[in-house]
Amino acid sequence: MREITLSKAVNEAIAEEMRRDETVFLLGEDVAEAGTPFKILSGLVEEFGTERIIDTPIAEPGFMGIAVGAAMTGTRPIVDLMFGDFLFLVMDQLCNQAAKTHYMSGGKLNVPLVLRTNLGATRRSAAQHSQSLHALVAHIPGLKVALPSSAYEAKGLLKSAIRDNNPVVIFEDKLMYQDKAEVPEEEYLIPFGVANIKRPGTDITLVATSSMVQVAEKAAGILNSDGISAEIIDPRTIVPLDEETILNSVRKTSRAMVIDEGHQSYGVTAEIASRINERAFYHLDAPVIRMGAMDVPVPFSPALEDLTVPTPEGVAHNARKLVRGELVHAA
Amino acid sequence: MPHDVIMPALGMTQDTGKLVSWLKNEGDPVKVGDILFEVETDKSTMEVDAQAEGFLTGICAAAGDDVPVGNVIALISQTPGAATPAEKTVRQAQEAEATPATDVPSPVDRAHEPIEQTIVAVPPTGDRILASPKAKRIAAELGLDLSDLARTGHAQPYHFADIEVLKSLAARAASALPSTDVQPADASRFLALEARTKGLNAFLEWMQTDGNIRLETPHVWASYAAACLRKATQAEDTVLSLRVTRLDGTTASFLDADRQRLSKMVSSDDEATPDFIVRDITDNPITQMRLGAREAPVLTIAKSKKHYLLSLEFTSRQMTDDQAIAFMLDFCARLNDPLKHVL
Repeated sequence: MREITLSKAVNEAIAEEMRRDETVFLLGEDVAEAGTPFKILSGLVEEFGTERIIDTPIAEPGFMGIAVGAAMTGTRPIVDLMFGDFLFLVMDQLCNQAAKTHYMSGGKLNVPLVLRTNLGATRRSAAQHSQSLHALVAHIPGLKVALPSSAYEAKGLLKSAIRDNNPVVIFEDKLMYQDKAEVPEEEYLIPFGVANIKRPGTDITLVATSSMVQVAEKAAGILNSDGISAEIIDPRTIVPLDEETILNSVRKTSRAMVIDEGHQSYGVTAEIASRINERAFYHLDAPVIRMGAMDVPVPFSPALEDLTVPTPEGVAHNARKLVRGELVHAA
Repeated sequence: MPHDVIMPALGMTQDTGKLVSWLKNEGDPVKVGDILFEVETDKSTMEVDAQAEGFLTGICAAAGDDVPVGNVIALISQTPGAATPAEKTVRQAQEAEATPATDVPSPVDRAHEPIEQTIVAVPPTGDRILASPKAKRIAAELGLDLSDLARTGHAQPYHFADIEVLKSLAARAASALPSTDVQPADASRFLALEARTKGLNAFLEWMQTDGNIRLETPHVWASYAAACLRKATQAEDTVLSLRVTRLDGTTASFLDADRQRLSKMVSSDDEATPDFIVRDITDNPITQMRLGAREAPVLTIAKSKKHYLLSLEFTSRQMTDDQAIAFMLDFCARLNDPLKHVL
């Protein structure tokens, strides 16, 4: 099968959906002429023109508000938010308006918009351009949250997001844009709420999201050489969350770690770990361990920045302890 | 409450461990993970580390001692001195404790030496057991008691893998149960002491020479055990049935043996479950038997050169710890001074 970059997969998904449905349009900063700083959208303005690929002023609250309103009137806007860190600027439009309009209008209005943005540290972009803030929106009822972990997921999830009648926030890992993966030529969709068993295993379940799936895969390789078989579950969407796949895996392995690049406290790792505790407690042979980003602003110093996110070695270290019946944290 | 330092089981079939040396002294502060002592098993020498923080106190086994697995050999207390009076009350079961089968004096021992003896008690099982939810669930489903692992010195917390060890412990105990009114979940509790043989020997000899009365030791055991059991359990108005067994399979049952004349003991042909079993292995070189709980408490009487080695196995449903301790002390007193029993 052909291999394409995550960047190209996103571009294809948008192009295919814009050809398929003329109500789909895209807006954001530097999206048309520049094709975004990450060059993801190159070529789209040539095919669809500036009426459907719209460059906006540097005014996130403004264009987010426009998109919410446009979605209510029956179009399907895709908002390009250059950095996930800018979510703080669009919180009211996203969380108070988009997330609640269907509910508050008694079901009369839909907001079928997609907010495309990114996450991920270690790009030397400092504290205001390196955050992974998906837990923030996953907390708000009414928003769906997708976390693609490869080019294949990026395309399939984005196409599903565009066709969804509800607001969806999709976070791409900004370090993964040039990573290649097998992506079929023919059309496919990845449904929401269906986790992917990325690697089957028997001794420990590693639930990993987005950027951390690669980390978990490398950790599983290390563990494999120690004779430990790790199963990797990629939830792919955290809202809705495929609990059953996670729980079935934990019931099988009796041990679990949750790895996510958001800050650890009050984060995605905590939520998934809690659900495992609540629903698979009597199958657990070890405490469920969270591994998220350190609870600090992401440092600019490369040496320090690299210390703030989970690494394959760190994941393997903790997993090894759990499997051996040792404590990761003092009892 | 002080933490027990026990002789761990380092092998599946290990019954005793030889204490090679202490790496900490009485009164030393210890932290979790500090190496406390070295043990030699038939396979290797292992270091044993502290499971609690505090001060090492009440050391009652010395280098060179062979200590039965599970025996308390020291405490980790919150204070550097000897156990406080409050701690002592809690630790009745342990106090005279330790010094298993040796004459090594211990500070704890000396304070409580009404009679010449050593008592070895298992750590209290009321303590919370650290185990994974899965290990607890599977143990419960199989009717196994995780405290059996603690008693045999396996390190906590327990995981699913430890269930296999627990199963083998239960299987070993069950194989020693011909008839089983005892649920596997009934943890076998254990007390041991040793008493000199000379008291009873002198009495038997005196009866023989001066009174021309030859007393049978099984009768003595039955009589002693019935008297001690009646006193310990305050069973004044109950008919007590005792069974004395030997390893060759011979058994004799007695009703109210303590109220019969020692010289004219009548055995009964009562086949029902006895209230108490005495396992007499004095004619045999075996000095210790710990076969797990039976349908009634079992007192094993073994004999070394100068000592009777008494061990009592019971479950908490059969006797309380206090009753068991009272029983053993009483039995020991009667061995030391048989006239007291007769009178």
